[in-house]
Amino acid sequence: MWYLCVFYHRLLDYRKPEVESLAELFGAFKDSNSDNNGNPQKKSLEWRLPQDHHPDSPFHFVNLPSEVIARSIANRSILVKGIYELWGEGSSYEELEEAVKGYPDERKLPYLTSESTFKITVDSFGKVISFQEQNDRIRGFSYIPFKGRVNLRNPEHKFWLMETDDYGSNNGLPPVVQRRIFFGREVGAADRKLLPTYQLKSRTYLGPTAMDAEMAFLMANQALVTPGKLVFDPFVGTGSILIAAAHFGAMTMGADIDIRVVRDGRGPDCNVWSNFKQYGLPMPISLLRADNNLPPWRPGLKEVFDAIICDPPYGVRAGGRKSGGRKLLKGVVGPYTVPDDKRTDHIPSTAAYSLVECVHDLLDLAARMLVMGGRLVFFYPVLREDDSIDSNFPEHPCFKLVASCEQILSFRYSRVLLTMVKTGSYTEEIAESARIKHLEFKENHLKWLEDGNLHSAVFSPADPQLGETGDTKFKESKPKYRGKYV
Amino acid sequence: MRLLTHNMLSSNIKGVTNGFPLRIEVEKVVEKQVDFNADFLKNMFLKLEWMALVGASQTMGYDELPQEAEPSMLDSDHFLKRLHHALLELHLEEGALICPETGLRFLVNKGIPNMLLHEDERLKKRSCDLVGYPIAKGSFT
Repeated sequence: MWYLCVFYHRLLDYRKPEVESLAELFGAFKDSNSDNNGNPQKKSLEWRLPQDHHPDSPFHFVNLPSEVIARSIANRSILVKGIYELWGEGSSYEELEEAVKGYPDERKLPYLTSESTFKITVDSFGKVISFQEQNDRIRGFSYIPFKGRVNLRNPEHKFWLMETDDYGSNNGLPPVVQRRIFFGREVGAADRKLLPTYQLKSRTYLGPTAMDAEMAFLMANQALVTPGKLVFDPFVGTGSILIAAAHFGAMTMGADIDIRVVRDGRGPDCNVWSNFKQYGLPMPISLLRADNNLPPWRPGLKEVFDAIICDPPYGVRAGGRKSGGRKLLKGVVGPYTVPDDKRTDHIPSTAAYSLVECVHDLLDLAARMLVMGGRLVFFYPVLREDDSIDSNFPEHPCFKLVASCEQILSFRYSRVLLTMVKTGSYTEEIAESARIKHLEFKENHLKWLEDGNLHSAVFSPADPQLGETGDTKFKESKPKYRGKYV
Repeated sequence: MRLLTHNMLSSNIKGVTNGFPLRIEVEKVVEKQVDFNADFLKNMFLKLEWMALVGASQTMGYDELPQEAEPSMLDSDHFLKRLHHALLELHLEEGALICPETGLRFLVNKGIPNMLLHEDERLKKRSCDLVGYPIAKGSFT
């Protein structure tokens, strides 16, 4: 059945993939899991736009197998404002009335009975409707035979009247030619109350790259986190991603190369454990200090994590580290012998860990350690040129990319949330072919990522050559210093 | 560190062929209550190295686990409770994990195993190919 799906107008690229992921989580694709030959079928939903609307519009129609699934998706999601059973739509109130009257009675009457309570909310996108106008519009519904009592606090049935009109000027969307009015019954809505609860500013232990709560929940949704699943973050830091996973009931594990972060934090009441305690979440199964470049897992161990979710260090705000000093790895110096009296607190030297190497290690680890069908969700930085990004992302023969969602961070660069599903099992041969594939990919797309180029691309002053072209207007539109926006 | 973690870790020093299971050197063990989740245990059971878990739990002072286990035992609540306790509730707060082959120690401090070695330890095993290592490594990146 087709439902009206209305989104919050933010993180536009993340909206549909979130719904698709949750649809899978709640079993929307169960019947079509595989065709007769056992091949997995494409798991995606049907979407449709209202008349004259731009894809960035918050109003979409989506085909979902049942109301139960629609409700579960809406309630779990972060970006869905609501999913509605549409009773009618139109370009004018006359058209709307006709449409609502034409909607079958057997779909309407069960929600209009005298024992029920209800509420009508008037909402708009891109304009404000005064209280008086709202009341007038609600009164205009006298043609719907509401028999129940009004209850504004806790109604059984919530009806929504939503209007959009000429919203083109300020929000970056092309104007809608005609206004569109929707009337429907709410099936489910997102619980955004989570966000103030988990917002970073009230969290005790924070690092410079702690993941914003909204994004962390989105990542957990992309990873299909459910109670009892085991989720791993190899760059755990202050645990901001695992907190979202734990909120949805997952067992969590995290590793980081920086022992001060995982072990000590800022004291006994300000560390990764205390962050979990703050929200009453179950503690991580384990936190350990390990190097993603040299993972400590036993050789026979594989297919143990249900999801790997992480924000790898890509060298803009925080650089990656791996064990071994720079000179040590080059073989210039021999290993430093640690004096006996300093052994306990000694922190071994580390060397810069390029994003290229980091992503390769991450894919290799995920290919080995994820269960079949398990998801790898991680951020990957891209440079923006002429308002578009290079959409070549890292690949691995064991994985299929199911979503890539861009979040613009500055004029110069974006990060893309990649969601991959493990579709093939891991063998030594595959690991080798993945390595070769990775080398090719690196050769073609990642040259600029090496040796801090990303950092300089993001932070260096505007290209001086631009001045010579005489296109001063363009130059002026480029802010001189973008650092604070990153 | 819980014994589930212990069951997953091995000594990752280059050249070590048999770095599992790590021997546990106990200084302080604490018990922390964890919510029981049978599905999680059943799922994890299939991935466990059973003998390593039995050995580790004995070192930690818990010897209620049977020497051998098979999936049919997962139907017994009694067994699941013990598995739950051994796997998730026993914590090594202070101590060390010792590589069975080289005897090198990975410290466990405030419950966090430190799986990174000091520079001189890391290279102990393969001091012969000190120069070979970075070149081989380089081809990876």
